[in-house]
Amino acid sequence: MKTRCTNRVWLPILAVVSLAGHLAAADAELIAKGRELFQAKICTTCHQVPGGPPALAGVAMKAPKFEGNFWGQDRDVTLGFGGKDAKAKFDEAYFIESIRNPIAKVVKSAAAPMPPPPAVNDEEMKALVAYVKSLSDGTTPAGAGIVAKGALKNFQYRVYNGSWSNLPDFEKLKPVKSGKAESGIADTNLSETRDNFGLVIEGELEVKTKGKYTFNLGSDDGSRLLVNGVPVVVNDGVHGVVNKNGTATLDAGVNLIRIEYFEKSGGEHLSLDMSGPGIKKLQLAHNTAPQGGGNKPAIATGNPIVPENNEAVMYRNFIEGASPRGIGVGYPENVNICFDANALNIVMTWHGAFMDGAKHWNGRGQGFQPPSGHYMIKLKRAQAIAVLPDAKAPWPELKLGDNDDDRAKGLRFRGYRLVEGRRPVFKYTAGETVIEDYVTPEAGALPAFTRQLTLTGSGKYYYLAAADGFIEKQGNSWKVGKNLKLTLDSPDAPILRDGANGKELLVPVIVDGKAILRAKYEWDLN
Amino acid sequence: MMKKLTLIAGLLLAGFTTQAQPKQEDYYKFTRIPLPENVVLEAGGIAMLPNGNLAVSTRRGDIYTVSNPLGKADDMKVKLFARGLHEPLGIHWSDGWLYATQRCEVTRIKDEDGDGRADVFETLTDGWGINGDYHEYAFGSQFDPEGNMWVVLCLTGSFNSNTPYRGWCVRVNKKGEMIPTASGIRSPGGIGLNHLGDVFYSDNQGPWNGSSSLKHLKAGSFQSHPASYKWWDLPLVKKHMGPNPPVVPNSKSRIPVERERVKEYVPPACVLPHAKLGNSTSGFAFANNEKFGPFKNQLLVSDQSHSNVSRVVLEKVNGVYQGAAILFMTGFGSGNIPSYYDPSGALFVGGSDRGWGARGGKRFALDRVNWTGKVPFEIHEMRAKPDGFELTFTHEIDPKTAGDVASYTMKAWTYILQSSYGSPEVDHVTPKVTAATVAADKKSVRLKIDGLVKGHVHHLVSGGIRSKDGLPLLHPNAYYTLNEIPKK
Repeated sequence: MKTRCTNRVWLPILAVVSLAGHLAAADAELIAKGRELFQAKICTTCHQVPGGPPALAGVAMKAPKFEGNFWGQDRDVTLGFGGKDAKAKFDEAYFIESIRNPIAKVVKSAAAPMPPPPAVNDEEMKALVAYVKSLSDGTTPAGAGIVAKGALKNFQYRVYNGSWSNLPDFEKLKPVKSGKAESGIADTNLSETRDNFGLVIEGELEVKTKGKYTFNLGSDDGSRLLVNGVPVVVNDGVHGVVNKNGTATLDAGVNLIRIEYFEKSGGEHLSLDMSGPGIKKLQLAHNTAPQGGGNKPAIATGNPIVPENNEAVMYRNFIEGASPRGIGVGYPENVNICFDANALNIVMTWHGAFMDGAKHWNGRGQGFQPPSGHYMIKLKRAQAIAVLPDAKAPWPELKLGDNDDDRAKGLRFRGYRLVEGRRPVFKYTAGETVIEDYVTPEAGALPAFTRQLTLTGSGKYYYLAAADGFIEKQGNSWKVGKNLKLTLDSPDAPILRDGANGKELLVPVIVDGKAILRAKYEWDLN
Repeated sequence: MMKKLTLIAGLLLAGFTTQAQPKQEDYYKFTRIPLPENVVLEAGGIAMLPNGNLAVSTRRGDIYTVSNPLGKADDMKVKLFARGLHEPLGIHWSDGWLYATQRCEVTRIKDEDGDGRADVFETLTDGWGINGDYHEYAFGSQFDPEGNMWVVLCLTGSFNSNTPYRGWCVRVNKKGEMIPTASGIRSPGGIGLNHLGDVFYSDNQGPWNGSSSLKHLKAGSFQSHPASYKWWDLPLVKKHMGPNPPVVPNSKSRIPVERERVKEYVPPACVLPHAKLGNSTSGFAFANNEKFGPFKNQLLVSDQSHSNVSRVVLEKVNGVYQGAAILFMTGFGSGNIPSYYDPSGALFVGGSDRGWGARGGKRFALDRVNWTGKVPFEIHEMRAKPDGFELTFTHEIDPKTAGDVASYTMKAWTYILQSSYGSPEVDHVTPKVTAATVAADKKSVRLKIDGLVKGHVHHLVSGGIRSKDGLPLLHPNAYYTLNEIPKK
């Protein structure tokens, strides 16, 4: 601290928070709400935002990114998908129309029109507008909206070269570069290198209210935050993105911020948020370094696996959300499933982009790759078929820990055969009874699929059609959770019962020769 | 002094009287299989199909077929046969099915409708555990004479076995039964049978493995890494392996010492010394005929990081496999993993350098090697004797150089048997070649050596020896793992 105070040659940065009056605070709240809705309404799966997680589905769909200076700018669109060329100004009216009626004006560069998102009411729309608008550069008057977006500006930074496993004492090292950053946001890209560098960022932050503030510091590799010379968050060492919290009591007025950061090799990341009296979430650092250049990006991309030639494509590997025996199937109808060869059940289904092989096809391939795409519905990771003493007996549960490779009870996986269009018919057995599990997708704006289970043999079984916190009969169908409409076609009527973790929808199946069950899965996003 | 000068003069003379120094290319011809741009052939397994196409499984989970694999490169066509498998390392044709060992199971695959693409995938067994760690490789052999496929299952990482049968060898029969067979596996790189039907696998340098080596797998054996003992409570293990695990070997020890304590311990049949012959021993094949030179039944063992193949010449002494490793070929395209010998005289070696760099330099490659018909001057076999070694050669030898003890030097060392990663070479000794007697047929030499050490790797350099035609050995270094010293 002494060194910093005496050697300070940089201009103290201006506090941003102090200028935020009541109006700005209200804006901040609206923006924060918009940010949450942006996630909840799954905009985030396709539309990249600055500092946000990679919008994987958007890569394949070529969805517009909400980065740079876009608000108020003209863009090339077509009137209807593939329709007449036109220009549209990205303003509130255009934004609302795009959500209410995505097909009206489609961005020309997009590979597909936006699928209709879950319904957005007028109040939610205001918040989404405020949030998306705040993402655009140059839309925020100095000092006002920054509260949510965050901005340390004109701060001083110094770049060091070296390979460390822990933060060095930067004061003993000679910087290779130093300067002021116009962006006002701490950014690993200031180093202009990708590996083996250190970065020290210093600035001032003025707060209006005395009180306790929380700082959330995320980095890959190590970092440290000092406020007024006191370490508040220490996130040291070589690691992937790790977030750590710390709190500091700040006096009203100027407070000194110092971020120390180093990157050894692979991906880099630096993020810093603060919250406290009158501040919902103030972003003080984020990344603009290109993703994918390093060895350990947050979500690996670059090897999209795509159904081709009107054939289904399979991906058998470690898929996030399934056991280590996940088998992904991507159908040309734009619907995907993950069949789990431990649960012997479909455990996930989603729309759009299928999978990306990047995590497993680069380097040694450690870890579980999340499915790409959007409208993910996670189904209960439990076996589909079981023998129960009666309809009240508990459904067998699988251990779901990271190291568990737990198998369905009384069942054995037997593989699959590919039928027309290379679509798999999964096969498993319960004793002598053979179960064939086959999915027939239906294309559409919101693709759906029908699952057919054919049981050949004899005995009494139960089929767990659904298990969820929420299951309710709606007409001839069942609403399962938030987004799934399930229609069952079975000889025996389903039984809705209370299970260990919510509702369970069971179908008794008596097999004497052959029994067929069908379940239609439709996305119900309202 | 006088004698040394004569020798040097002799060498110079020999150098002048032969033309160019012999090269590998004079004897073995490489053909790189041309791949279409969109094919990522990170080879994990190779098998010949009855229709004459070569099947190659890949780390990305595909199986491709190469048509006309024995013909001209220009006439070959690479086509997709199957996809969506989980890193299959080991494919083998048997009884109308292509058997594939995936990370998660053994699967048999068929193209039932004959359209050139597989459509039936039957799970034979998925009896072992996986939990998402990239180390959890599974390598499967061809079927042994009793109808069992042998599968070696890498540990979870280097040190632990976090899910059942990690660090085990299991046998799988065609009924889909899985039989726990051997414990103590660390990180395999390949598995296969020799001409007698005995099973070998390669294990890589790491904990309880001072160097990579080729190991003999037999039912009930222990292969060095005790993390696998964790699963001895499984009823299937007790049934096939007995009620209790072997004694835990002591760390910071030596293999001959621990063999006395751990009766199930089978020492490495042949060490491929780390950094000398490679860093990562992988798959192997053998020529079952004379169409690949005079090396019938010798194991042609690959290394992933050095992109090479060594000959491993084994013998059994006191019931234990042991023998010599001699560099055979270098210059493969990528990091060698699987190999396959076609009886027409073609050795196929495929590889990938993903995750572990390789000298070859290509991200992936499939090479075919054919013998030119010209026999290189090589040590043919190296056999242990109570007081030394016997060497045989592929050419008639020059009795003067071969009979001179100064033509040979020997060093020997071993490795620490320890729970931490790898080992330096330790316990160095310099055994002395005291006599070199050339046989009457001039095809072999009997070396008498003082100072053989049981358990040590004996590195013989036969730099001075010349063939009848004045050629030096193409590969003068031989590394013999002396598990047992024969009594006669």
